[in-house]
Amino acid sequence: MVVRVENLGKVYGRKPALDGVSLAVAPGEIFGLLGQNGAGKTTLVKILLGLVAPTSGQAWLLDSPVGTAKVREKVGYLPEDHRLPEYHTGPNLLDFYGALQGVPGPVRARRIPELLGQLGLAGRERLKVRGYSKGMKQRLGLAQALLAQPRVLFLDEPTDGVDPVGRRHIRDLLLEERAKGVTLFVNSHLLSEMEQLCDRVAILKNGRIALTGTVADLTRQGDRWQLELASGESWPATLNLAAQEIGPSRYELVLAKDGDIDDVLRGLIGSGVKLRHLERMRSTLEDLYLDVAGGGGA
Amino acid sequence: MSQNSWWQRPSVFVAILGDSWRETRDSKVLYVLLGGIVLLLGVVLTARFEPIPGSKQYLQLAARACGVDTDGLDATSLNAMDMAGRLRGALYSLETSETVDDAEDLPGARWRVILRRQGIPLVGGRDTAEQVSERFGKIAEGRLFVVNSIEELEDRTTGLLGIQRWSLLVSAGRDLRVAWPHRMTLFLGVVPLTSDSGAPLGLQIFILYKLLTTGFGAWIMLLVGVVVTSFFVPNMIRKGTLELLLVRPIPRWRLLFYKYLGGLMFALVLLVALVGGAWVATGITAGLWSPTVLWAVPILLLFFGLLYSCSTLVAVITRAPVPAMLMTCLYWVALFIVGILHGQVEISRMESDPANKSQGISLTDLKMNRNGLGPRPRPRQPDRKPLYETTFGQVVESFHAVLPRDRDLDNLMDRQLVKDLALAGPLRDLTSRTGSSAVVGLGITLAHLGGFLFLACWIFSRRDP
Ligand SMILES: Nc1ncnc2c1ncn2[C@@H]1O[C@H](COP(=O)(O)OP(=O)(O)OP(=O)(O)O)[C@@H](O)[C@H]1O
Ligand SMILES: [Mg+2]
Repeated sequence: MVVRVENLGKVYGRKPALDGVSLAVAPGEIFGLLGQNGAGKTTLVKILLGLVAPTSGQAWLLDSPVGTAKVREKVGYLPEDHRLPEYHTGPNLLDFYGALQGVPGPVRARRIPELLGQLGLAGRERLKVRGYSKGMKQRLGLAQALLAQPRVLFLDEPTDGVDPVGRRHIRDLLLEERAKGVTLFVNSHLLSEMEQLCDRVAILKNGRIALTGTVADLTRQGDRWQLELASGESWPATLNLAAQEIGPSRYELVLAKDGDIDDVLRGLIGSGVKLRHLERMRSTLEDLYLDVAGGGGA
Repeated sequence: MSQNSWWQRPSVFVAILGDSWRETRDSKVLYVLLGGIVLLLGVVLTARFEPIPGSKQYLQLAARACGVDTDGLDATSLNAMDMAGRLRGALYSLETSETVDDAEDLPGARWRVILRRQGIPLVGGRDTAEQVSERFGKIAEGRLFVVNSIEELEDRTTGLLGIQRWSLLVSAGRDLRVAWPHRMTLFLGVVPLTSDSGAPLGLQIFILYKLLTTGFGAWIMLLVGVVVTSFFVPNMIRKGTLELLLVRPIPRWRLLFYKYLGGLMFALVLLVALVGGAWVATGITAGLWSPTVLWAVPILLLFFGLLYSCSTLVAVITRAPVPAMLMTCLYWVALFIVGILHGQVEISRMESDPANKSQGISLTDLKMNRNGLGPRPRPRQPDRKPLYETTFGQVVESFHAVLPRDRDLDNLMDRQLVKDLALAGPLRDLTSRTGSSAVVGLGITLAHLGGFLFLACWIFSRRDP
């Protein structure tokens, strides 16, 4: 296991931020940690990186107890709300962090232009961070996390402030990293994005794990379909199946098993209705999240 | 690449210094300060030192000193009064002196001197021309004149009594210029800084050095340094920035310690510019190059290091620059006040010491006398309990014993400067006033510095970001 957490607790003052959290992340996996503001996501990541000392429980990173300097050599981290020192230019800053991370000079010289190119920052080498836009800072932050070619990446809100094209880009980049065998641990609120990116997620609520599982398992719930008929047409009453109208000539129906949709289609065509669009729906991560995290509040 | 010690991984150290360097350069303050230093030194470069006629007093001094063995004498303890006292029984005197070829009476001239040895009996026999030639112009470790040629004029000894006379041709020795009165002006002669009678060149240079380095200049520089560097650590440990550093495979204390060294580097650049510049500028304008003044760099750097360690500690605790700045200045003021009070206590002790009283010199009166004859005695109030015996005095003393004394090292440097610049008179009192040794001062300073740093690193290592 790349990350193993057992019964972890953290109390700030008197308020518990984490309360008996246990989880494990396997190598090469993209693990997503979801939860409302203040649920304890950042706290958990900081404990794993040895930045914050846990109050109780134990945690291992790459099979060694968290908190040692050595294990951090193989880790990349993008903190939330990071503030990169403004007096550096992008390449300077990466060089600085790379040196601290123990990346040899020649490797830095090769990796830095490459990364800047990958993250769409090429051509702005002489601009100081002070002049960066929010999304540019986020990309540079991501670049410093990737620089040392870590075995594990901890990303706290990695696409915060990045435009949709950039998000797509970053998602592809992260998937590429996974393809290289890197394990990713991602905190985010952007559920649709997490759904596309993560293999497995856990939902934190008030410092406890409320739900955990693979994205595929969690979102497969029943058999839901949406149909659109040619405009002006309506659901034939002859079909002995109740469909819910969700828009003009748009209907949604929930079926018991996979093959039932064929019967519905046959029935529709038989009654002379023109079908324009058919889509199989899954329950989204968002539905699930709202179910689990939304109820009761933080 | 793994857990190596810092000397095996200098790149981390270099990287953090480089980071501090960029931060410093980015703030532009460095450029402003360097600009200020250049301006100041530019003004110094417009200074002119003009010798004014005045060989008589030095030739007379040289003549009298011929009768005394001055070898063991400490040049720093020479003043005219001392000399007069020591030479009361002198056998040598100056009969006449004039410049050769009607040259102006300036250090570059040569003088024809008639020297007379009288006084009876001639203990130890007659002096040869070689002996006189060797002794004339030599004062303690310095040499005011060298004898170019000597000729014995007459010999009127009768038995044990008698007079010897010589005619000497002398020119300046290596130390004459320093003692010679000069008129100092600024802006190429426009603004006079000395009276028409001038002042010894060495004294002027000494004062200039003090103004530019360990005196006034240092105060300004250290104050600015404290203000500017007080932002370094809080900037580094700001939330969002700190995490990016702490996640590196480097022990936390080392991050902080290297950052501290980065602040010292900032001060070092300024100090080298100021002190080195002052040295070069005075060297160019006055032709005097006393390398002792360069000691001001490590001395001031050490003191800055002390202040900055205090600033670092406060910054780690409060995470904000303003408290760091204020607390550091408070600490500084406290040290300063204790130093002043301690000086008063010392004075009270010396004043009630019979050994000092007999000399009739009050150490409190350190103002220069116009004629350079040493301080005036000050009337004492006999009914008051001396300060050092009061509770207040004892409290001051115990504080002083454990607090860093920045002036010890200063004084050490001043003493050497005084020697270099052949200064004499009341200044030596100023410089020899401290009781404690520079080594103790250095030890206490380092102990405080180390204590602050250790505490800062300890807190920094243990606290959640
Ligand atoms: N340094 C700290 N001191 C005191 N309390 C803290 C500290 N850091 C976090 N907390 C508390 O711990 C709890 C969890 O915070 P955490 O930052 O882990 O939440 P999060 O899940 O990352 O939230 P967000 O989605 O807003 O980033 C919160 O109640 C927060 O107030
Ligand atoms: Mg968070």
